[in-house]
Amino acid sequence: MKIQHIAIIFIIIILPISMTVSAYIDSQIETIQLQAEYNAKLTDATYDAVKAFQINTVNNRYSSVSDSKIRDVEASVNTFYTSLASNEDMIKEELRAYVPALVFTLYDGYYIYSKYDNVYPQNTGEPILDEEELKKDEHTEYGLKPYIYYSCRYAKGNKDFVVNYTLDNAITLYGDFGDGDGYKTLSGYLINSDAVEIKSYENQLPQNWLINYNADGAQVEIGPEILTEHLLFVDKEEDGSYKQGEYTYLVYNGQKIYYDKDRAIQKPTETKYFRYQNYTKTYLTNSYANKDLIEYLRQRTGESFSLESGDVTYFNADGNLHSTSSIEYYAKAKQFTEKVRELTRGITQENAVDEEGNPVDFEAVLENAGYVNTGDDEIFYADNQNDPLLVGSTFNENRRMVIRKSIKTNLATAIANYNMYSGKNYEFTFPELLEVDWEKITSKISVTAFLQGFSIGHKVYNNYCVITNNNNEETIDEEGIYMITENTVTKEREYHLPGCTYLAKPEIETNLKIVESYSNLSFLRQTVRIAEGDYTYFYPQTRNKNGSLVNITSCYHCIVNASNVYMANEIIKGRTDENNQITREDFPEFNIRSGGAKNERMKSIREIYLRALARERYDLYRANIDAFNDE
Amino acid sequence: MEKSVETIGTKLKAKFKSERGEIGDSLIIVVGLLIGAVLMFMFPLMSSSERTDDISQMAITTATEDFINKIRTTGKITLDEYEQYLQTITATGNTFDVDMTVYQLDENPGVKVTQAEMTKIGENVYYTIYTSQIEEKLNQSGRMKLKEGDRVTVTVKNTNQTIAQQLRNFFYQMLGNESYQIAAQKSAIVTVNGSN
Repeated sequence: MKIQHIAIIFIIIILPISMTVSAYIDSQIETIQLQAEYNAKLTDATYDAVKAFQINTVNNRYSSVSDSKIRDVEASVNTFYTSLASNEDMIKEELRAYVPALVFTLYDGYYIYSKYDNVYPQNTGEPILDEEELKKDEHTEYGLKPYIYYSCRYAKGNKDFVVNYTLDNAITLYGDFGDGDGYKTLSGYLINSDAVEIKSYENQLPQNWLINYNADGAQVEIGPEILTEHLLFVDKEEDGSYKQGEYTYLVYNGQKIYYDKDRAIQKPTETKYFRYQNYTKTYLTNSYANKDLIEYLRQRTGESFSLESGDVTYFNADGNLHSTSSIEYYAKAKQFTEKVRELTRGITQENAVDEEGNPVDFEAVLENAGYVNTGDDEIFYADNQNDPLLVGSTFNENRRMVIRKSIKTNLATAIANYNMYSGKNYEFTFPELLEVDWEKITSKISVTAFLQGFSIGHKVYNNYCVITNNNNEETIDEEGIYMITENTVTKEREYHLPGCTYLAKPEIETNLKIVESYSNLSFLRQTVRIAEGDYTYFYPQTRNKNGSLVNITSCYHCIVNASNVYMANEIIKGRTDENNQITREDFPEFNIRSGGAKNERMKSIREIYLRALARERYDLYRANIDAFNDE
Repeated sequence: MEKSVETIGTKLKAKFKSERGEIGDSLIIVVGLLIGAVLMFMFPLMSSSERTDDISQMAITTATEDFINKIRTTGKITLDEYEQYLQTITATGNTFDVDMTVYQLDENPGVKVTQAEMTKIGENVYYTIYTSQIEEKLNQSGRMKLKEGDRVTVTVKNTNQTIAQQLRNFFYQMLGNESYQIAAQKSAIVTVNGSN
């Protein structure tokens, strides 16, 4: 055989192989591109869902009420599908077959949106147990499964109780604490109660209340605060512009109540306090039903009022409504923590048990990842060593593990069960979530979406997406407090993150005077609906300075360019560490215990920050944690 | 005599004929060998090196996509993730030029231009931060935080000549310095405020 012939045979063999391999790899690349496209679509849709939830809760004055929250979550689910469908040329009904579960992790628990059987017991009162029967379409529906709390049961000796954790340091405990008093329910904020020193509270006038918070040698004084908001109303001034103004306010039972010091009272039934409802002032009436509330408000404006004579007497009134939320937060949290410390003596990680009373093996459930052995440390004994405000404390580690275990087991079950109802040949499974995603789920409000079973060329698509949000009325994140500064020269107002490096510079250098601090929600644009299609807007942090409105702007060093700021955890500790570029060793940059002008600035930032964090957390209305240690 | 001359002529003619045939044959053999070499070695080599590049392409597309997705959903760029990303892409055996750009959103109302209205949404300005600045920040503090609304773009191109490129250049010269074989570009809008 001639060499040419061999060459031809060689080509005959090689050419098809090469062509096939080339086509195969091309289609693989296409698959990967398609996968990337779906990843992006999934992220977009999940982001839209989170955003819808944020917008709905911020603009819904009743969103903390359970029914209303379900509506917000369902609206968010719809947004997810609409967003995915518009990217995908498919309709919601087609798409949702590929979504085995959507998880909404909220403040004290989570919702799973999935397909499930919704069957009444038959006429005989017997439940339907036949799997084939259950699978039928008429028995199943897509919807939110019952709300699941982040709860864990602890039992030791004659103590047997359940703890509902939340995304922050609030907890609810119920059960028998073995103190002979039987069944009890307690809820409140667990804090480092050793650090709280009550100077004056309760029997004094609210204006004189004072608390010292002294965690780890860094003291903060907490007293009454003046909170101000700018409001815009639908009523018009004579010149045709909308009425607007600044009012001091406080939050009572989750509702903001403003003080109109200029209102001329004609009748004894009238008051100067109003709620901002339907974009107008709705004054509180001096009725019997409002008695407690009016008394609460009067005490905080320095007025005393006699219903019989109709006389108002003033003591030390400065025309402002003073909020005492931050003091109440610390004082009540101290009482609560001390009670909890007493009742839960000796409860450690080992005492966590399941429904049947068998010990919970966190290590096995969490498969080592995310498992932290806190040994003999008492979980609910909060002190300087176990400060629930700090990441990494025994309380926080256990809280994280409980939340993670609960979501992991329930979600795995929900997705496994989905196979029964899906009507697809694909086997839906719970994917292994990345550590970083668990971190997000256990620390913030989040939406997790799973998308599985799509055919994308060579593979079947199977991915998930976790998007978090810290701009909502569900929780006040440690990072969700902004500091307001006023430039002493230009009078410009700016807001900063507490860890802003520019803010931490001495006032002489920057001319920035720290004046107030609010949650990040106060900086969102508010919409006023005048009529259909006619809207106007305002920012609550706008201020009237010498007759002209001064807008607040975000700081360029921290909000606009968020790249290099101190962590909230460092501010709480009062110590920030820098890393030496050469030796790679940490050295303290700020340490408020050491004194000096530089550290004084950090001290005042910390003081304002801690006060605001306490106040904003106390002021959030908790639908599920009622009776906050008020006994 | 005439006859002998004729015979010699015929013989010579025949000889010349056969020599010409021999020269033609060896020419064909040489050309055949060349074509054979090209077909049997160059063609498979090119084909397989092109496939290698395709696979590298696939790897860097996935790596870039993962990297950008992480930034997008965590709201921060960390040194660890960046280095891991660089390691993944260089594991393909090529050297790469990675260009990162962060567009930081500034939605301060009324600051940028005097005519801007605070009631409008979307009248924003973006500040651009480039690779070297990002790397500097990463080296300094190990992370670079971003916020919701910021945009990130990662562009990666190979800087070495891959075998496929070299072989191709052997046959036909690609013009310009900007010729690259393996490249990926991904961009995304950050969906969350970065936290620690």
